[in-house]
Amino acid sequence: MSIVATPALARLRGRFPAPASTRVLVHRGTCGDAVDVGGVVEVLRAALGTRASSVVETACDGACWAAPAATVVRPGHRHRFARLDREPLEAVVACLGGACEDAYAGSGERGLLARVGHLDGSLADALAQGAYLALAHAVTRKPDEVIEAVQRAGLSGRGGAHFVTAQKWRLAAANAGPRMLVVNAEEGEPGVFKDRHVLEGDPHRLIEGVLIAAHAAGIARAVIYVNGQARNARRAVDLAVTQAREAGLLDGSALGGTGVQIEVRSGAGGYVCGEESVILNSIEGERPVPRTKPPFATDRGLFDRPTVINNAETLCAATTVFDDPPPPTKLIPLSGAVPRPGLYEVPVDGITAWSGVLAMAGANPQRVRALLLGGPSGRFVLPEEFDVPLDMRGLGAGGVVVLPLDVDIPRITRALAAYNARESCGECTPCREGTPRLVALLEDASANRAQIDALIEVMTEASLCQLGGLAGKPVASALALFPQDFEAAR
Amino acid sequence: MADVLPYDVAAPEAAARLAEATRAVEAHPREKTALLPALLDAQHVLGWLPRPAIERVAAWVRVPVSEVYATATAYSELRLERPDPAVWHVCTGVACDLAGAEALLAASPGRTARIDCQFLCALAPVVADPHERLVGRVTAEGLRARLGAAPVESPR
Ligand SMILES: Cc1cc2nc3c(=O)[nH]c(=O)nc-3n(C[C@H](O)[C@H](O)[C@H](O)COP(=O)(O)O)c2cc1C
Ligand code: SF4
Ligand code: FES
Repeated sequence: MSIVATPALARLRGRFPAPASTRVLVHRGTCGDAVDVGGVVEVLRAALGTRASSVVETACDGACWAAPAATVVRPGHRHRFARLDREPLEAVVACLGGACEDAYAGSGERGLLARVGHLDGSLADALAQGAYLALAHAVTRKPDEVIEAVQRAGLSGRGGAHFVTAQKWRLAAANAGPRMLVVNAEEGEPGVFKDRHVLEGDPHRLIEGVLIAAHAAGIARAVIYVNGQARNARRAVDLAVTQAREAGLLDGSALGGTGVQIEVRSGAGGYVCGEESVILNSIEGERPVPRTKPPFATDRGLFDRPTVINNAETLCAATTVFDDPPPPTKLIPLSGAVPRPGLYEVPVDGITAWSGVLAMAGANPQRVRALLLGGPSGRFVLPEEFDVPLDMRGLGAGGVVVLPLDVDIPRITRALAAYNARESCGECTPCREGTPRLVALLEDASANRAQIDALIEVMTEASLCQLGGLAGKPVASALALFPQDFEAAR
Repeated sequence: MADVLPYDVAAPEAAARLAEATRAVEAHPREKTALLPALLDAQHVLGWLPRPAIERVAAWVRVPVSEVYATATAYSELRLERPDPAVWHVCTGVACDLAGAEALLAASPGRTARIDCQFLCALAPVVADPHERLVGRVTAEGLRARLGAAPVESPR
């Protein structure tokens, strides 16, 4: 970003001591903890002796494949050491002393992920690495101008439905206040682990996005709704909200802008509980089922107030839209049969295609049968499509599982259908009755093809929410692309 | 979940545990909007939501018990039955299935159950221990070793 600090931001930064410029970041967090990074930290501290205090525990930086991992940071220099369960720690110690080349193997473009896994958890460190720069500028502009910038950058919803963000903010702003903002960080779609990485690793990015939206749409109160299992993300967001409040960022006293009250809540699971109107019901203490629309949330949402509901990544991306923004990026949580599974930030620039994403993850496209894009609400992507430039509209929430050549497509298809049947909330008939029926018909998909097609049509057209509306999508995709697999499975 | 046994209605400390859960519930405002946060806090203390806990929440936020049950059953992470403290959950989501989840289940019959995606897909296959701590890149031998090392914490 070419913009420089405003005087107010410079004053805020000046209130904190500068963080150490040389340190060893151990990527702890949910990913590191799942592979016993704690043991590595102890050995590393011992090996560093008097320099043990330079060890900083931080979150996963998106290179999940590398865990347990550490990054040595010296002025102008970063070097990540992967798989410290297999690699000797001496190299880390030597690097801290200056003996290593800059060989940072990052996970793609460094936009939203720039600070993820590189922060010590303090507001000072976040500020030193650029947090609240976009907000400092946004508050010097009129709300309309901020919405205009969001519009020009082409920002659209990253939660799956791709709604134009500027339009959503405008619709809410046109209604009388007080207005609400609900941050959807429920992230309950199987295969998706992007929001929790950003929240865990750089929670101030989200709060900055919330404050920008609050200024633009005149929001009085924001509720950040975090997935119940993502405990580290919740903890990081709680801490960051407290830090931001104490620094005067939430009441506008530090940088300007409208005061906004922020509350953090946890969800309790269930795929449908990520659907926006279900979250509204959940926060109000109602049964977590979808609401009929209209009324739309921007007219009558949380507690009947005009409400903007945005995915966490959408709000994080709102921090990147000012002054000559780079092409939009999408966070792609990628897993399956690849050497380097993890979280990738991919430019959606009309050039980058799946082949580029697979290359980042170290995959040989010739060993890939297909991608599963969007899990139980998604579709399969064949190698023919790997060189077609990515289109934001087709990416959904971005979850990708790379399927190897010997993958059992009918088995995966049945598993996705069964998942949807389990997760159906039962509120509407097409989905409640249709999802288990689809599972039954898939027992002999070839013979039942006509019935499956008819059932999917009903579910797509008549379901109350998109859980049922999209439940047939991966099934239809599998049957269209891999008919021979289903024939062979009879 | 804390490192404690799931609440046992017959245990000597049952009343104290329930009192602690009640205190957590009553720290919330007496409003319907506190329903889920109160349920989560009660479960955090008890490990699950026995009927007395549901009743405490219902009374506190002034919602009928039947409605609290209707809500609680809709969230997959709220437990209305006492969890088995010996059982580990093996993720059988797509990435974990590709990485050999079935072999993990087969390697430890009786001590494992299936669970949907745990959102740690890049470290597949993934299991969750009885305290819901996630372990990634699990092998069958590794799981057996962990099961052997983890004492069963209560009579089964
Ligand atoms: C079954 C279902 C699950 C959903 N889960 C999520 C989710 O976990 N996170 C999310 O941001 N949006 C989810 N959505 C989409 C939301 O309803 C909504 O479109 C989104 O939060 C809007 O924010 P955006 O415009 O910033 O994308 C889900 C939708 C459906 C139908
Ligand atoms: S489509 Fe399915 S999940 Fe959505 S409201 Fe209907 S039954 Fe519930
Ligand atoms: S599929 Fe196992 S963690 Fe996602």
